[in-house]
Amino acid sequence: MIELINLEKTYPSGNGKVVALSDVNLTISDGDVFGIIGLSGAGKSTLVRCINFLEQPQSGKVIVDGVDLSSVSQKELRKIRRNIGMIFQSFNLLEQRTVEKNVLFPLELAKIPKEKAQKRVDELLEIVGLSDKKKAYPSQLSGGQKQRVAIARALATYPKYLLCDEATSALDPNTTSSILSLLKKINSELGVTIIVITHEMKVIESVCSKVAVIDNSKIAEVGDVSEVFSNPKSEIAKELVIPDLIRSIKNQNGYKFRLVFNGESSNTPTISALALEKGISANIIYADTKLIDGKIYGHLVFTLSGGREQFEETKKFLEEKGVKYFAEAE
Amino acid sequence: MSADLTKLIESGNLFIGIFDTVWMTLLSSLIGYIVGLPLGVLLYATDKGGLKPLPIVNKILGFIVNIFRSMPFIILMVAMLPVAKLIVGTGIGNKAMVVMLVIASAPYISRMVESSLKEIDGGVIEAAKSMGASDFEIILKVLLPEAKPSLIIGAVISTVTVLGYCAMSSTIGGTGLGQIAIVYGHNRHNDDIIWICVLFILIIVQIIQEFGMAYAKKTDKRIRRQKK
Repeated sequence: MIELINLEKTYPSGNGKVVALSDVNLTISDGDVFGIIGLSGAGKSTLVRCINFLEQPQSGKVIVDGVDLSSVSQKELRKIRRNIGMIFQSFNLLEQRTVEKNVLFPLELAKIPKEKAQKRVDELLEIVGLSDKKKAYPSQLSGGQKQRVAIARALATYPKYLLCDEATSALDPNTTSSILSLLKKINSELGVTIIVITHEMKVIESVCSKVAVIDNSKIAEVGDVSEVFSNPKSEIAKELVIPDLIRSIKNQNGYKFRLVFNGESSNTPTISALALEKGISANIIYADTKLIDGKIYGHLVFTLSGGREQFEETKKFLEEKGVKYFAEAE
Repeated sequence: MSADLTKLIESGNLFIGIFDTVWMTLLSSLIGYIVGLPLGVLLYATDKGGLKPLPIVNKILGFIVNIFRSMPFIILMVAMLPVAKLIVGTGIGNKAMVVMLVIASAPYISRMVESSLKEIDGGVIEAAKSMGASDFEIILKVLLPEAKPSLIIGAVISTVTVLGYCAMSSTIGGTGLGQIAIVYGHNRHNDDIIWICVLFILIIVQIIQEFGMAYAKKTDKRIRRQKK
C-alpha cells in the first residue's frame, strides 16, 4: 500500500516560488490500477516522482508498505526503488545498449548473478512480446516497441508497484491501446499495482479502477473510475470527462440529456426504443461511446424538440430502462 | 632539395622527429584524459542540476580550469617550468614537455568531457535512479557508455590540439617536427624542411581524425543502420 500524507512541494522560480503539490492525500491499495489525471502543469508528474522520491516533498509523508521514505538512508531508498518500477513518456532507454542489455540493466544494479539475470531477461521479453528483438538497439524500434522494452526493464526486479508517467502520450492510438492492454495483463496476471499518470480520460477509462483528479496542485476528486466518470463533481473532473463541446451546447427550448454508459447499462438501443415506444424523437448532438471488454463506455447527448411534458416522459423512460442520465432544463 | 633536408633524411633525424611528435602527443593526451576525464565528470556532477550539485566546488573547479584554459600555451609553458621540475625532476627535454602538455590539455579535456556528458538526456538518468542506481553507478554505467561516441569525437579534437601544442613546445626545448621546422627550417631558411614538417603533421592529423571519427561512428548505436 502506498500512502501519501499531506504532501507539499514547491519549486523556486525567479524571486518567488511555484507550488507543485499542496495538501495531497492519497491511498493506493495493492492490486489497484490507480489513475492520476490532470491537465499539463497540474502537478501530476511531480506527484508520481514523489512516490519513489525522485522528488522529495518539502513536507508530508510518502509511506510505501509502512516505510516512511524520508526516514530511510540513501542506500535503503535505492533498495526500495527496486520495488517500484517506472516507465516514462520518452521511454528513456539506454541508446547504446541492445534491448536485451537494457532489460538486464536493473538486474546488474541489483547484482543478480549473470545466468539468473539472463533467464529473467528472456522471460521478460517473452511477457512483452519482444523475444525476437533481443539484439536490436532502441533506435531500430518503434515507439510502442520501445515502451515494451521499458516495461520489461521496469519489471525486471519483480517490483510490487509500477509507475507510468504519461507512458502512452507519445504513442498513436493503436499502439496506446496495445500498451494499455499489456499493463492490464501485468496487473491481473502478475499482480503488480499500477499507478498511471495521464492527461487523457481515455487512458483512465480503459485501464484504471480508481482515479484521482488533480488540479492546481491539489487533489480535486478521488473515487472509482465508474463513479467519477458518470458523475464528476469537481469542475476539473467535469472538464476532463465531458468535452467542452457538450457543455457549451444550448438548444432553444433547453431540454438536454446526457446519457452515461459506464459499462453497467445493458447493450440496448435506448434512443430507438425511445422513439418506438414513446414516439419521442431525440436529436443526437454528441456521441462518444466505445466497447471495452464487451461493455459500453461513453457519453451520448441529445436534445428534445418537444416541451416540458416530453422532458418528464423521457426522464421516466430512462429510469425504467435503468440508463444513467443527467437531464438539464434551462 | 636543400642539403640540410638530405642530411635530415639520411641521418634518420626526420623520422625520429616524427616519432617524437607522435609519442609525445599520444602520451600527453592519454595522461591528459586520466586527469581530465574525472575532472570533467566532477564538473558535470557538481553543476546545478547535476547528480550532486555542489555550487562552491563547481565554481572553484570551474575557475581553476578557466585560468589554465585562458592562458596562451606558450606562456603557460614557461610559467609551468618549475612544476615540471617538481614532477619529473627537470625543466628541459621531452619529459618536461609532456608535463606541460598535460597541464595544458587536462583542463581543455575536462571541458570537452563535461560538454559530452551534458548531451545525455536527463530522462535516462532519472530512469536509472528509479531503478535504484547510485550516483557512481550512473556515471559508470549510464553517463560514460551513453556519451561514448561523443567522448571519442572529443578525444579526436583534443588529441589534434595536443599535437599543435606539442609542435609549439619545441620553442623551449621539446623535440619533434616542431623543432625540426624551426631549427632546420626557419632558422636556416630551408623552406622545403618547413613544408615537409607541415606535410607530416597534416598526415598525422588526418590519420587521427579519420580513424577517430570512424570509430565514433561505429560505436554509436543511435544511428539507424540497415539490417543485413
